[in-house]
Amino acid sequence: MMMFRLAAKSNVPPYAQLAEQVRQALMTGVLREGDRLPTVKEVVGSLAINANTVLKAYRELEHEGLVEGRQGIGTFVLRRPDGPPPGTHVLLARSLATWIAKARKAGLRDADIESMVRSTLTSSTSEEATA
Amino acid sequence: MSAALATYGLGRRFGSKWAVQDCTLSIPEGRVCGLVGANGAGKTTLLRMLAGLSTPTTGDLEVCGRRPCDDVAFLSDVGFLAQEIPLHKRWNAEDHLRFGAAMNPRWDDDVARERLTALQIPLQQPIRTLSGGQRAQVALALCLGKRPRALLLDEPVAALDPLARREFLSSLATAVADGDLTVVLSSHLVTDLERICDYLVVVAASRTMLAADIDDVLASHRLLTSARRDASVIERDHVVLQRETTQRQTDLWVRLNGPVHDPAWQVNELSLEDIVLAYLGSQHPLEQKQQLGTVAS
Amino acid sequence: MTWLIWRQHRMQSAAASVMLAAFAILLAITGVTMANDYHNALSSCSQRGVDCSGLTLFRGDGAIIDLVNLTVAVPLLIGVFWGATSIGREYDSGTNVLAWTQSVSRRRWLAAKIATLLVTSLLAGTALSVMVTWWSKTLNLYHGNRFDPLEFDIQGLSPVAYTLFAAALGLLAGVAWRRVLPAIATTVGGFVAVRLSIENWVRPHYETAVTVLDPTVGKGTPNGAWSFNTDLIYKGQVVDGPVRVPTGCAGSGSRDAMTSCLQQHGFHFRSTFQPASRYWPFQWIEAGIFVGISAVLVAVAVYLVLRRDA
Repeated sequence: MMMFRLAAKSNVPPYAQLAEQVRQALMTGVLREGDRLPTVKEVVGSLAINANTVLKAYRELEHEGLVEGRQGIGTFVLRRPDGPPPGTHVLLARSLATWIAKARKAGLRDADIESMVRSTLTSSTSEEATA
Repeated sequence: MSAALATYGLGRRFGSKWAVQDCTLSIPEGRVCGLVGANGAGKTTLLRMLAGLSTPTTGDLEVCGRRPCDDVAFLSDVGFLAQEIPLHKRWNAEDHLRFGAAMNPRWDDDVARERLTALQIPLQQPIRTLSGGQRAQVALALCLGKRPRALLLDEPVAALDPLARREFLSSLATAVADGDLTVVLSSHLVTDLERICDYLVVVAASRTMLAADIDDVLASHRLLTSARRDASVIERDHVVLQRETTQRQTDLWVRLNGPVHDPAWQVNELSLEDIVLAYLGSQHPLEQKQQLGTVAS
Repeated sequence: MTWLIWRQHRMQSAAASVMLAAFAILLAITGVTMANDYHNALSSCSQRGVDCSGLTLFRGDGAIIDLVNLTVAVPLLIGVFWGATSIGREYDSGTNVLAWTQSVSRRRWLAAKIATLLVTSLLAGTALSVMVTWWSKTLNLYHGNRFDPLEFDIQGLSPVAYTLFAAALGLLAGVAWRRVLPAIATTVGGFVAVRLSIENWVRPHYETAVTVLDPTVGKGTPNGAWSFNTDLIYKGQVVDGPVRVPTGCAGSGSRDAMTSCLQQHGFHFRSTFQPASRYWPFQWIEAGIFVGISAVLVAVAVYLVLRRDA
């Protein structure tokens, strides 16, 4: 059963955070096809948030075709979002950890690493756009 | 969607001082409405009038379709939790449940009892030996066992530690998720409210500054920043709540009436807390969009 | 509502019942003893053919007599412990808001509270009065003083009326102050002030006092009457200070002989009093006054509770 978390000072609205966490869980394999998502009441009770926030998140996921709500029973996972198989994440995470260790050893601070990642993302996106 | 709570030009005066003035609100059914404002802004007075504990000086109001009055039909629909969390100190929680059963025709003992047992609150111990958080939960259980359609809470978590606060709001959130309940809770902290509320009312100095769905509030308020320039076009097209001008820069807190066309203005989102602060410091009470009408009795 | 009333009053009902029962037993025992002593002494005295008006009795009963006299304070205690706390404590702790935000109307809650207070006060006051009046029968016969201020206050209708008054006063004080301590202070002050004022300045005038010159020889002020004063008159003037008994009367045998001798020398007695026959009318008038005041106090309390904000 997956646990939700809400980042307190995030600019991302709560319902989007919840939806994203479900997608992440589907990508990494924590949630699989046929699993039941936590009920609205369970989420509301553990996070002390408004029920509409949860409903909105689940509705968005339903629109994307990732989950399906069954009246009176719950909300169930239909399929994984398009993306790499679960194992890929683990492999990539490991190589990332190795690279970060190298960067730190070379003297980069975490803030430098973060801005390097961000600028590389941006430039590679524009490269792909022009390619 | 019909309004669970509605006020029309509501006002309450104590001697020569107005605690609430010109309050016109319409809170839809099923909302969790946060009532935010500084101490002394009129939150408690407004809630007490909605609960029928205080008589308005001017204006009218309607709760669950009825004007507040001293009879069973109104009283059983509306629950109220006062700021001091009044309970009988020498009684225990069990006594309070029996009290609830004796005083309310629609009493649902299972609902109240299950809450307390789930939270592991001892039912046989005198209330005065329980912690603040536990007392708040007993009082909440008492309110919910009554099965009201509207629940009014006056600063229910102000005196609680962070854990008790989270547990209380959790309990409240699950109660609302069960359906059929409209909640108004007041606080002087926005952070308490923004997780659990989907509707917001801001009061300052006895006046209502804002009353709207939180999603709409977040979508319609922006911070406009630019190198120092003339703001008259913005002021004409939108509502400027606050401004800050330095030699080099102009900042405007704005409620937008449409898109901003001038590219010289950088448009930034605002947190709910920043929006509330802007209203608390502004001079624009909520415009009276509704006519003052009489309430069907 | 019934459950609430019972839950809130069970301790005080138990305590009051126990105290009244204990007091009843004490009075029952001593009262019967005193009645027996009196009748035995009276019959043995009349057998001996002696003047029985000078019986000396009940010297050792001082403690119980004092205790019975102290019951004059019971109405005030009830006003403080039952009246001032009745609604005053609810305002003080905020439980009035708790009660008024359930599903019972404020009116119904108030009616139940007031009815309970008045009924229990009535019962307690009546029980007390019945016990003390019964017990005092012997002393009333012996001393003939039931019309005197203290005795008037603790027998008959008075304790009942005073208890109602004290309860009503406590009730209003609690409602007006919304706090228990000031309510108690007001109840004590108000009760004492009103009781003393009426007893000293109003009660003597319920009917015009009777003035009699030279009452029946040997009787002085009639037995059982409420005596205001007895003056000695000589040559039309009230005699202040010591009097020289005229030589002719010095050797008179009995009191009656002395009295007629003095009269022949121009001395007269003038007595002002309320006759014994007026005892019950006075009881009713005083009770009526206090019940009337109580009704006004309760009415004001009702108005305040219903009209003010919670």
